Amino acid sequence: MSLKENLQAAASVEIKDRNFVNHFLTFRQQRGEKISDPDVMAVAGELLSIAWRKSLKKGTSLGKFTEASMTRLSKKIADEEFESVLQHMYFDDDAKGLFQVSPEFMLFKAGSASSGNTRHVGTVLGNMLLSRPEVAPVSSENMNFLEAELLDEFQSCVSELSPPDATEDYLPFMGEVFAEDLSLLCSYPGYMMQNLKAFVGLYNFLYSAQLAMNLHSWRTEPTSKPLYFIMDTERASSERTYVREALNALLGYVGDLFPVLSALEYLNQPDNKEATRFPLWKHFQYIEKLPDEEKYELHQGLKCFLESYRTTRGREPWGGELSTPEDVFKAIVSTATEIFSQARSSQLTVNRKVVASFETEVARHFIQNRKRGGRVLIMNQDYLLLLTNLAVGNKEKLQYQQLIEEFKRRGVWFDQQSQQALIEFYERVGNLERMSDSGDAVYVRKTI
Amino acid sequence: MNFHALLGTLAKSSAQAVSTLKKHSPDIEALRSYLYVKTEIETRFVDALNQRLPIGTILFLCGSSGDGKSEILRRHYDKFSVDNRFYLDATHSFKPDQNAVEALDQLFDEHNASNKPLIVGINIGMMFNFQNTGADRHAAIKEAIGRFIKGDRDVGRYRFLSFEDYPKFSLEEGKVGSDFISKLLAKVTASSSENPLYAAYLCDEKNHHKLEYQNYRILQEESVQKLIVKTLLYVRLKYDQFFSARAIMDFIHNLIAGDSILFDNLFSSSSGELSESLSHLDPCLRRTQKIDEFVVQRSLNISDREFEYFKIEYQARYGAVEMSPRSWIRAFYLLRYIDLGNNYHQKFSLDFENIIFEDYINIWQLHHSLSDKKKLRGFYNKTLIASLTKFANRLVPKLVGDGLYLAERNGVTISATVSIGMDSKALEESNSGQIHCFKAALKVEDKSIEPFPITVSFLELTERILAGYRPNRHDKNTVVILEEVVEKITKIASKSKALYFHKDGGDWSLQFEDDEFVAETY
Repeated sequence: MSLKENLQAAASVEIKDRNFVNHFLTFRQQRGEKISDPDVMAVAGELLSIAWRKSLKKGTSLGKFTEASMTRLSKKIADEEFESVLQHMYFDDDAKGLFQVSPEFMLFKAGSASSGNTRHVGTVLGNMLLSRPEVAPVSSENMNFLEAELLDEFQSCVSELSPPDATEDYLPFMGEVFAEDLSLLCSYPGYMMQNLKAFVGLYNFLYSAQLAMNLHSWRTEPTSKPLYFIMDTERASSERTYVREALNALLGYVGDLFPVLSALEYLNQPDNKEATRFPLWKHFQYIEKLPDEEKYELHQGLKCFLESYRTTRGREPWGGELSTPEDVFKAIVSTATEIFSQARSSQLTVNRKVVASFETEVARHFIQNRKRGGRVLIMNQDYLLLLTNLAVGNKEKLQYQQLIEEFKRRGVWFDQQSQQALIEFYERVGNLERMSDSGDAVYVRKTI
Repeated sequence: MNFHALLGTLAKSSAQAVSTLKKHSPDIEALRSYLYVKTEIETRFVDALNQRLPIGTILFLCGSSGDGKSEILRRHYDKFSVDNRFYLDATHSFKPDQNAVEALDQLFDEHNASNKPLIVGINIGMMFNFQNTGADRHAAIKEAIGRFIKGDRDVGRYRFLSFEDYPKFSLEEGKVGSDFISKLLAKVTASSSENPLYAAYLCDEKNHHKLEYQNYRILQEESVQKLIVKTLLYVRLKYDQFFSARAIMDFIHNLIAGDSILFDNLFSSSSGELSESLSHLDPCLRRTQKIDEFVVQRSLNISDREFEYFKIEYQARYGAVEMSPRSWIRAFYLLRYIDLGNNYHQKFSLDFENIIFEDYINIWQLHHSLSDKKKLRGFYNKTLIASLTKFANRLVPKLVGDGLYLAERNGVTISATVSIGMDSKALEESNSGQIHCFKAALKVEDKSIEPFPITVSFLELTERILAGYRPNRHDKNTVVILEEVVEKITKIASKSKALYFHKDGGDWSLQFEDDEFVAETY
């Protein structure tokens, strides 16, 4: 399915009564008071399945695997009492113990998402892995002979997976680092299992934040936009404007996520299950490069869409300029935000809830209220160490300035003062190596 | 020049702190050449030049700022500049439209076109910058820098002399301390007519009651110098402090000409990183009964005749000064090997022992000389391995007995019994002369694990663990290495052919025998 077909279909797309976003977004409006974190195991199962291109064979299930494993072990052990201990260790309580053995078993969790937000996080993050090379699974190094039997039994449950790739990356730069980082984690299975929760949480936030900040610059391919964090131990004094304004600016952008992405749905054949979904900037780049005649055709089609979109949502016809595709894109984006910002409308309420769920679900661990210092974006030490290890990557150590660049690639920016504080932090951790007194000769080592 | 002015030229803020090819006034030149301490790196440098560098060679003399790169180049410029090109200014460019890296690009271009070897004094950081952003046409140089970072010193036409390879401190038996700093302190304070500072001091008799002169007199004590060097060594070991020649000169200047009495200038001065590190070793921070008592009693002005008598003796020797109780503690620390009056101050000597550093130095030496395997084994078994196992089993200390915790699966603990011991063979290869750490080598069962670095902080941690301390996840400092080592041990232990399972109400063992698993309760 091509971009062109999607755009052509936009001319006659049916505008639904309800606004919806089915792609690119990891969170939706929060329903109810309870804050539900995504089920990390299920998300991880999904991600690993795609990264390894492996899935469970049809007809296999955790129950059947349990049975097969127990039969296998009881042949070797033949001691009923001890077998019941094994049953308890590995298979009771939702097989809690089994998932501590080695990451492979998490494939049992793929597709087991019970809540909506788990599914969304899994799909969107998993999407970034689809178009990227397969990663080889590495089993946990701490496996004993007993657990090796389990893993061996497990191998007969797995088959190759060739996932469809139905959504294009909205943030290719993010997809790049995400895939790199996941593959790094895969080569340190023990570390991965300890840090999965943080890893998913971190990327869920970074992806969402960068998506929001890149939404309006649809004229160009997305890049990592400045988003300033401070360490949780640092002071956010008033002269640090980058730090103090970061969160408010970000929340402003997040407010446009749901409106703009819901309009984008119409440019991607919402009723066609087979269609590939493209980001807004790709639509624009595509149109711009077309020969005049084809461009004209799509331009007219988009104008039709704009008109019916505005009418269905009860807006006056667009009064501004529409003579180029760029104008139409601008009009669509501002129509979307206009619809969601009408006072006392249900859309406004919905969007407020979406923003609220960003704050409470996605960004919870990264926001800190400093009272008089206002709310700031923070990076706590656990996330920071994880991020550092990811950034250093396959190398043993990285020059400090390059490390800061790697952070930026992942959407994490630090101002000068924080960079100084970071050095002190690494010094304390003990993974800093100075080759001279010069700030250019400082290296940061991995801690895995 | 008077004493004060001469002293001023030692400060890093003085105009004389930076070497250029220009000559200073005769007074200053005399002091500089008197104070100059020839170092091994300089000898190597001169050797290299005497052997005539081949055409096309670039010799990088690299170090931190203030190490003395320019000073070495300056001293030998006259003799060697006919045959070699000297370049002292690798950290800046002279043109507004050019940055330092571009200036280096241009320098190397010129070098390629000339037939003289090039000698560059360069900061290591600057060299890394060049490696990252230098022009592609100098790829060979950039690659050589890469190899230098990895440890090579001669890469084709490029040679590197690095100050880091000639550490100012040594832990070798009989040479513990710093030859360089000891010599410098001795020169600064020598009571000889050759010493311009001492000569100026003598000429200035009417001022001898002033603080600066008092400090000079205190610093003239050899045992004070020794203790200062030792304290600096501790700082070097614990805080990885850089000591450039310039920083040491400045440090000496601050000792004598700082705002307060020498004891306070050493431990509670507020200028820069070195002072910050030194303040952590302040003897006032020690909590012992005698020290506390002294501080409290002095603060309450409780009379103590012995101390009053000692004070009179002290003032007769070094000069009259009012000191706070804390300053007195610092004074007792530095003067503890000096015979003075009733020797009141020596009552505190035992309270000032730095056991952890002495232990570290001791074990470091054992690792390097390997002369006393028995003692070494004692350290491994009683300290290192004991603390590693204690840390590994921290969650289940009672459950696993003398085994090693491997994993927990839904409330059931798995352990194995493994033998861990010193790997004497690996020890022979793994220790170079680095002083901030030594490499420990362990064998788990018959498998060696990669030797890992032990620093003072690490050693301190192992001793604290043995004493009952349990590091937690927020206590990141050096725990990382500990966790890493335990992880490696567990990895090997997991492959054990006998496993133990522990649960409330039962222990089982499982043996791997001929493809059969034999389970038993015990």
